[in-house]
Amino acid sequence: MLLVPCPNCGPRNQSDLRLLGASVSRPDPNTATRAEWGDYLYLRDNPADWITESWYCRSGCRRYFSLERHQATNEFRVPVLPGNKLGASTYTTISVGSSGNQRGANDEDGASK
Amino acid sequence: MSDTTPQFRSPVVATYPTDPAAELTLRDESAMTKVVIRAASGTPARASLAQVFAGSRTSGDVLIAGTRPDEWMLLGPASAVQERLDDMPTDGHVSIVDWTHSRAQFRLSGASATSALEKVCGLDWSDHLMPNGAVTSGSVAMVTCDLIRNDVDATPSYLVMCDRSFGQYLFESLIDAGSEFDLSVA
Amino acid sequence: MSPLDKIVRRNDAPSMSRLPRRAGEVIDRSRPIAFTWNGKPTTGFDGDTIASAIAASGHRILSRSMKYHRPRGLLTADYWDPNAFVQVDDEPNVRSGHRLLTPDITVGPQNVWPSLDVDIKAANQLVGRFLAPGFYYKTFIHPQRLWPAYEKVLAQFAPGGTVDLETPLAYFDKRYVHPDVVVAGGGPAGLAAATAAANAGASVLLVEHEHHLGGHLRYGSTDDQALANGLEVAARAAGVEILVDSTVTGRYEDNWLGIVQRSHPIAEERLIKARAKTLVVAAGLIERPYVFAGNDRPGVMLSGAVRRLVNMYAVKPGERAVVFTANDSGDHAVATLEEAGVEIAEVVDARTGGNIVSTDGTQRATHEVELGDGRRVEADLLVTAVGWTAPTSLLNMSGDHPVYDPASARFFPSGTPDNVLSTGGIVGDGTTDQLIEHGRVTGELAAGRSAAVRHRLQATTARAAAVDGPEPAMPADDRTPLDRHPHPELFRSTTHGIVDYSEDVGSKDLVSAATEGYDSVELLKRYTTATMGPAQGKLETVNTVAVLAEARGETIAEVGTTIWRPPYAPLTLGALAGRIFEPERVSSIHSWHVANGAKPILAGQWIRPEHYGDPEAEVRNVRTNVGLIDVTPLGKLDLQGADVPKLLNLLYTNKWSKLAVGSVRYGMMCAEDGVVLDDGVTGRLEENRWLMTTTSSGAGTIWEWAENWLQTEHPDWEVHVTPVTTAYTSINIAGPNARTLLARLTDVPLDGDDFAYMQVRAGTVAAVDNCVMWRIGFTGELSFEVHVPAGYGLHVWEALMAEGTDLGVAPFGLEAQRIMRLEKGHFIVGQDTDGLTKAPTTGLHALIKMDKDDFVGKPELRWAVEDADANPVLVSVQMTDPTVVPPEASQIVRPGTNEILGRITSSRYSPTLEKSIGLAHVPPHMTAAGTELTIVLTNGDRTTARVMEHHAHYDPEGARLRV
Repeated sequence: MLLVPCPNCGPRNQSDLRLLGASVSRPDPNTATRAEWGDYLYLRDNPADWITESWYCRSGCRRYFSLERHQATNEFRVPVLPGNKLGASTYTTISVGSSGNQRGANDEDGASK
Repeated sequence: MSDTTPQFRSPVVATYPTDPAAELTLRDESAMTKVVIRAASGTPARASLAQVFAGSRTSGDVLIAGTRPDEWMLLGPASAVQERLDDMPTDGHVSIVDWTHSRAQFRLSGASATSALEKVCGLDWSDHLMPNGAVTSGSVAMVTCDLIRNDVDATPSYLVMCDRSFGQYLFESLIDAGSEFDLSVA
Repeated sequence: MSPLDKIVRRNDAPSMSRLPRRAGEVIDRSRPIAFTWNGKPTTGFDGDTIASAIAASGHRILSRSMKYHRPRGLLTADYWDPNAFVQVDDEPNVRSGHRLLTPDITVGPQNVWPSLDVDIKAANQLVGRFLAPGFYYKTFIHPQRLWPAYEKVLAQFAPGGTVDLETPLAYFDKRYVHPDVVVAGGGPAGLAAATAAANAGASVLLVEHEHHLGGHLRYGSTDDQALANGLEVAARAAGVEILVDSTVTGRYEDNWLGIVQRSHPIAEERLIKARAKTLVVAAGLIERPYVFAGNDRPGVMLSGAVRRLVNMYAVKPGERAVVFTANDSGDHAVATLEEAGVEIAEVVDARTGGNIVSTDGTQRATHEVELGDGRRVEADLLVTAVGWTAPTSLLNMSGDHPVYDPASARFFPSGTPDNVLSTGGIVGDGTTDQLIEHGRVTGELAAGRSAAVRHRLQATTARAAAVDGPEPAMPADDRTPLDRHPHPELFRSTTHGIVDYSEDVGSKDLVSAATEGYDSVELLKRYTTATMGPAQGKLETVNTVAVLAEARGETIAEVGTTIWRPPYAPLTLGALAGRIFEPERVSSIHSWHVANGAKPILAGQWIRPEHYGDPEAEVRNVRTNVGLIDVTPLGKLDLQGADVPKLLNLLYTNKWSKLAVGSVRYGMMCAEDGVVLDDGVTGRLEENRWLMTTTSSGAGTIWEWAENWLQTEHPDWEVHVTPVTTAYTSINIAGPNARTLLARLTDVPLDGDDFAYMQVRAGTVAAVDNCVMWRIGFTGELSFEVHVPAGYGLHVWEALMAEGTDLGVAPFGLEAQRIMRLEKGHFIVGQDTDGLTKAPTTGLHALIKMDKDDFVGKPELRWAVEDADANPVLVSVQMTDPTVVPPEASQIVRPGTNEILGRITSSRYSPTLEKSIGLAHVPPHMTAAGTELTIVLTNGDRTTARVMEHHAHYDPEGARLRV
């Protein structure tokens, strides 16, 4: 049972989350060819290397986010990205008002615990 | 028109022998008013709630809990919760939903409450990871619950909240988990 | 009388017996325990294992071997003893070398027929050469028609005890723990590690496989036993939580550990799932048997076995012994046997070149040992001490690849991650003091590493208490390694013998398998089943590898070893299964349904009324009077925010921007692959507040799906989605009298002009405020769906039942609803659609708005329309014969052939129409009204049906809905 570093909750049991697979970008639905759409739906690389994948913290913060995981070692690293956003991909973004693997990052209103 | 006065019914319909003085007690608090607030970044409601995610505090008779990064719960008597809501500015993207009927709420209290919860939940309940006031959520007996540590007179006490439909099942599961520690319904 | 006769008589008499009191014995002689062994009343003491009690009573034979049914006696006298499996009452395969004796149990041998003393299947050993590896595979394969007969014969030969199907259910428990340090193994090093870690401030859980702490000290000298006691006292004083008779069965990612706690006070067994910050493996060493002719003859034991029997259980293991020793344990065994009054006939020292070749005697007893120098020594007991197997299972599971060291004749760990440490015999040799010191340093290191992990965990966990200071550095491993003592390599003598006792696999079998080409260790294992029995390699892995190495003419290092996978020791299915969490959901009206005779049906996790006795009568009542159905499980989402219409336009295939406040609309959702995902009605309660309903099974999925789109693709949209499925009890009031009934309980105007079809109103019902009502009609009748705050759901239901008596009100269940929706031709997602059904198949083309800029699955639906010829179409059908209702999923075929054209997706007898009706998937060219379909029934018969003009069989204009 992996410990998955949720950017909001902190490390959580894998069973508390749902893995949605490698992160992908959604093509423009009005211009995509059948081949492009098929790639988006069905085709993923499976390297023995770092990949960016999407998780949903279903039992915890209920946020969708992306993590990098090494597929051979199961190590995680949390991408720090400008604007908490990974571009126009289907599943990838860091949750509202939070980033990185530090607690209290959403403490934008100066509230104390 | 019927003139029968409506009677609120808890999701826990079975009856149990009670002993409020027991060392480990389980209390059905499903009737408590519960309001969920969602407030987007930058809204004045956030500043008014002044509670970060995963923590809670008592303000008057109302428990304010940061249940999600952009979600809070207010728990308490209906009038007190309403007063607190009246004080909260709702400018911007803010939504308020009354969850009183949506959630079952139980309070598990006693020195062995942690040991009982360890039997049905995989979270780390130790003091350094779940101090008094901590708020989290997780699977309890395979039901996703909101969980608040809310000690009473320095005795460990936990609020366990789940979807109302699971209420009877979860109540039974907690009784079963606590039986090793002589749990009584309060 | 020949000398042989004399020996036979002497040695076949019981030669094991209880000794006078021993200083360190673990039995309580003041508490005798009566039990039955092999049909005879027998007595032992509290503290005895079943095997020690049987041995103390003078019985040498405990079992017969799996394949050849040879009589077997104690070999290791502990958990791993391959010869000590017994049946205890209704429980088969009990490890009698480990299981403690309890009063009044009936213990019997297993794998014997008709009895332990006379076993017909022992004839197998006479034909042993035919039972070579692969015998069953090779022999019982042709002809295939005889397989059932073979199965019956072979089942008779299957080993193991007898399962009692009447065994009462038992309670099994589960627990989750998060200790700083878990120590696997409670010998001197493990105890020292646990104590040191606890004294350094760590929370420590120590797990000992056996009943007693102290490891090998427990069966050592009185000084050893005193030392073990002192170590245990120190560990308890330090606050270590100690579990005995428990096993760490597996180590998984991030130190997730499975621990089985046998014999828990409140449960048969308890499965503990532990997340340890550091795991210390102190599993010790397991003594290895020696391979030689007659090594499975009763009377051949390992040195640890005789030391256990004598020092812990005060059992004299024999009268006259030969001891073959290569190490301290063998030397100690000599001293122990002498203390016990066993005559030492010969000590054969392997370190000075001594060897043993074979034993001789009867099948039931050892009479003589042949030594390497050719001498034959009379003895009824042969003790061997030839070396150790390092039980590296938990280290293997941590990624370690143990390496064989020929100088010490065993495997050693080569490296594990930072959060797994090992200590004790598994990593080296030394005096007891040296082992304890290594354990102590390991415990301190484990505590230091756990503190660093805990600091990081606390600093990164949102709910955790504040943490002071910077994260401590991860302490480096600067322990002084234990020495490795030289040990002769002793695996097989000059003769062949048993390698795997529990599977009855001999060294000759391994050599012949290698000759056949099964010469990789993993192949050999699977082909011969060596190491695959209950001992799981603990005793036989190294010997298996050694024999294979010899056969290949290579070194053990070159051959390598098999990888140990979880579990370390077997655990019961009960431990894995219990306690079972099976959440069930009920509505606020559930107790009423139960009290009123509802037949329950499980729909997902929901328990719902299928019907209240007669579903067809329920249909007729709704069509003529009024019925109530509890539809609480219907998914409900509260949507708030200015951008709700944008979200609805994205999720549904149709348009939502212009829906007026007070109106509801039906919509269909597709996934990105164009497959129908869900459907339902959504209403606009206020300008910026909407209520969405989903199917019951789709409630969770659609909520998370909506959040996904909002969070990842459109984080700028202002929409809050809040699940309110059970905030409301949902009651559908359906039938011509529905309005009259509801009007008696609400002030909300219900007339058609005030509250039209597909509109929504909020108001008070039966004095309950904040109810939401909408006029829709899945059943095809005038109907109001009332959503009541759930705490008052039962109140409103009972009020409706009470007020509607004169209107003919009656409850109806899911089955009646399913019949009525089929009469109306409404499809159900997942019933009339499947994982390939794209939206156009449903025929609802008007709901697919390709002129919207974007919606989920849009390109796929465009292509689905272009490819219309390739996709099936949902049509309504009526069977030609109204008495025949083809089962759902019946195939539609081309007449006169078996070519499948489509299938029936739903079918029912319609009490309203008195016809057999259905929905079906058919090819596009067969959709014209009147097309005849040929349907194959389950018995192979064929029937026919006719395609209908409309989906609705009943009231296709919908007049009844709009009254």
